[in-house]
Amino acid sequence: MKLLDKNIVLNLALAVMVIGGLVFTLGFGICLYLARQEVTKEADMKIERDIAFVQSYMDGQLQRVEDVAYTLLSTKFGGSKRNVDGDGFVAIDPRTFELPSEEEVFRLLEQFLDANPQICGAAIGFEPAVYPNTKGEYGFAAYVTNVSGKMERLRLGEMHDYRKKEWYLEAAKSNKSYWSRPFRETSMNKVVTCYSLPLHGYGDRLVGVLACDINTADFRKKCNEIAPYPHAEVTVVDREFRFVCHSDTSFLLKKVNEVGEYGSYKTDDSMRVKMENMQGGNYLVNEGTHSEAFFHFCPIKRAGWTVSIECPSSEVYSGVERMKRDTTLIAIGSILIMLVCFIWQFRHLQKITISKASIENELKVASNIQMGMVPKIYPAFPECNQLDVYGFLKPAKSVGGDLYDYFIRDNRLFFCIGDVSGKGIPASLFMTVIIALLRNVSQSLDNPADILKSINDTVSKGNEYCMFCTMFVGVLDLNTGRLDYCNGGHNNPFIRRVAADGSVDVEMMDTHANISVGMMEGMDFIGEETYLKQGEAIFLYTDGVTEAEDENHNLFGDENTHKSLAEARKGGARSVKEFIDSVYQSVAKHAGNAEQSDDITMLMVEYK
Amino acid sequence: MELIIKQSEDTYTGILKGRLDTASSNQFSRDMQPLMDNADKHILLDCSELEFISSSGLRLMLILRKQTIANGGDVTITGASDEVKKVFTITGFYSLFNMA
Repeated sequence: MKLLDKNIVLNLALAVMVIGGLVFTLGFGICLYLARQEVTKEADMKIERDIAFVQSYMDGQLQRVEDVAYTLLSTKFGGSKRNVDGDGFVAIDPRTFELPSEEEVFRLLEQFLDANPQICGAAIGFEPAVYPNTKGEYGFAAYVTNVSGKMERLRLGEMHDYRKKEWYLEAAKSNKSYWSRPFRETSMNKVVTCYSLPLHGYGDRLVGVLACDINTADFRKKCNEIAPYPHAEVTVVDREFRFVCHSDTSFLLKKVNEVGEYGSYKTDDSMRVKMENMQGGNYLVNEGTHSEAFFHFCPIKRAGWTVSIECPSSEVYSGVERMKRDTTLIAIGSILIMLVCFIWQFRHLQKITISKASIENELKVASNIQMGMVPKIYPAFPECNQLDVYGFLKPAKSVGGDLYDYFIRDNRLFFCIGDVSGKGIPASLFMTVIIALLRNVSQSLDNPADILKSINDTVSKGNEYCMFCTMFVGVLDLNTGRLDYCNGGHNNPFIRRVAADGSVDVEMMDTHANISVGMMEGMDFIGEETYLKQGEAIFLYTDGVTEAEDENHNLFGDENTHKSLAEARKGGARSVKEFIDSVYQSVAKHAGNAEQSDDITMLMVEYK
Repeated sequence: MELIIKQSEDTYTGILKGRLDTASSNQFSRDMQPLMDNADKHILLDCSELEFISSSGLRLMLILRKQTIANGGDVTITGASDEVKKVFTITGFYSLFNMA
């Protein structure tokens, strides 16, 4: 059984695994690719949404500071004009407007801080000589800070040199409002940015500058709250690439390139140029070794800041990676289960095949036993020159129901042919019983009709399945040529006659039809007799010969049997074996490639 | 192979159609159970549409015949074609059944 070779089982199992694995890998690879693309798109959207939120929050806060500063100057200091986008100044007309008193200025600032808690300190400085009682280069300057709701006043003077400070200087120089570089307010330990708004008098002459300090801690808090992914870093840098917001406060006001770990901003030149030009963008950047990060940024133009969010790719793709891991485990598990099932099924098949093989082997043994029951030695009776006998049996299945037999007793040849109803093992069992009975009763009975009656009565008893056997029994007296015969439901044999003039003729015998053996108990069998002259012969066959089918189910038929027998002599057949071989050749030629459907049996007896 | 069974008074008629060979004999054996159950009646087997009968088929008819002998009924075969009639003749069926 080559099919059951262990190597073949292993190879098949391996093939199943490899093919299964490949199909899975391909399918999963495509799924993974699509999932990754989808996740990338979603991550970009998510980060973009969060960065837009931070940007609009901070921009809104800054704008409010600009608005309230303008409102203060325009309502309390008589200003009237303001350039678009707050990028301008406020102008007063000193001819119609009188500036508030110094005390009034302090009070206004206190009210202003009280109403706007996001502003932690406000200062207003005037040019020299705008207020009376000022002299030299410095004029009047008031500064109020809000320390946890408690207002602290400070009058800035010579010592503070406010006109040289950035907040005053830049606004005075450019005549425009100005957001200062964030700086550390050492007294309060805050990182602060300052908005300066100039106040002009008649003819664009500078009158003073209002400054509002904003604590960036609030922005940092907002940044820390936003986290599209657990380890996403939201940061803000100013126009000099110094950190305004960072989760690590030690980074604040340090340039990004001073902070070694933070390489993102300088990865790509085009990115830096975009930032310098106050544009937004999104990049995939290298973060440390072998890891990538999503890096999105967006400008806050009024302050010259850039908000950025950086998310490690590993976090963005963690779902996909988890799916990859889980699915791979499931796939490996499935393939293993498949393999186990496969091997189990194969074992099962192996067992079935083995048991089938053992049945087949037993059938073969049965066939051998059966074939051993019919005489096969040729010449059958070498010592008897009055006889030429030959039998032929070719079963359709491995064991069949056809039979023939011959033997000599008291110088008489007993011969018989038979066909058991059905095929296979039941038929072969019945056949062996018939042969055994035949040999037994022939020891004491000489007349074929008596022999058949005896066998019939024996096998009909308790024959529940109504198995029966068509049988032709003949007894040839070798001294006289007298042939007694009895036909138990079998096909009529052919007889070869030799006429007085020596011509040979083959004809079908017309026998009395008795019932087949086994059909019904107690039936009488009627025998007949004839004489065979020298050279005459009797040819017995089963319906396997006459009913042999070709591929179109055409039967070989009685006529063809008759014809092939009659013509065998012309073909050179002399011995009975040659006759039978010749008839079989004709049958085989007729059948062609059609499968043999019934046992083919022939027996020929020639009296010499 | 097809077996149609009709009943009129105390006669059961089985109409056999097609080929009754080894392959169809199992089916036929189940189909003819109603006839077996009424083996005490007159049973008529109409073989006019029976194309072929093998020894397995004969065996089943014989089983039916034996049942009628045991129960007191009888079996009559009608309309057999020459081909089928020849098989009945050779195997000695004629002496066991009523032929009409």
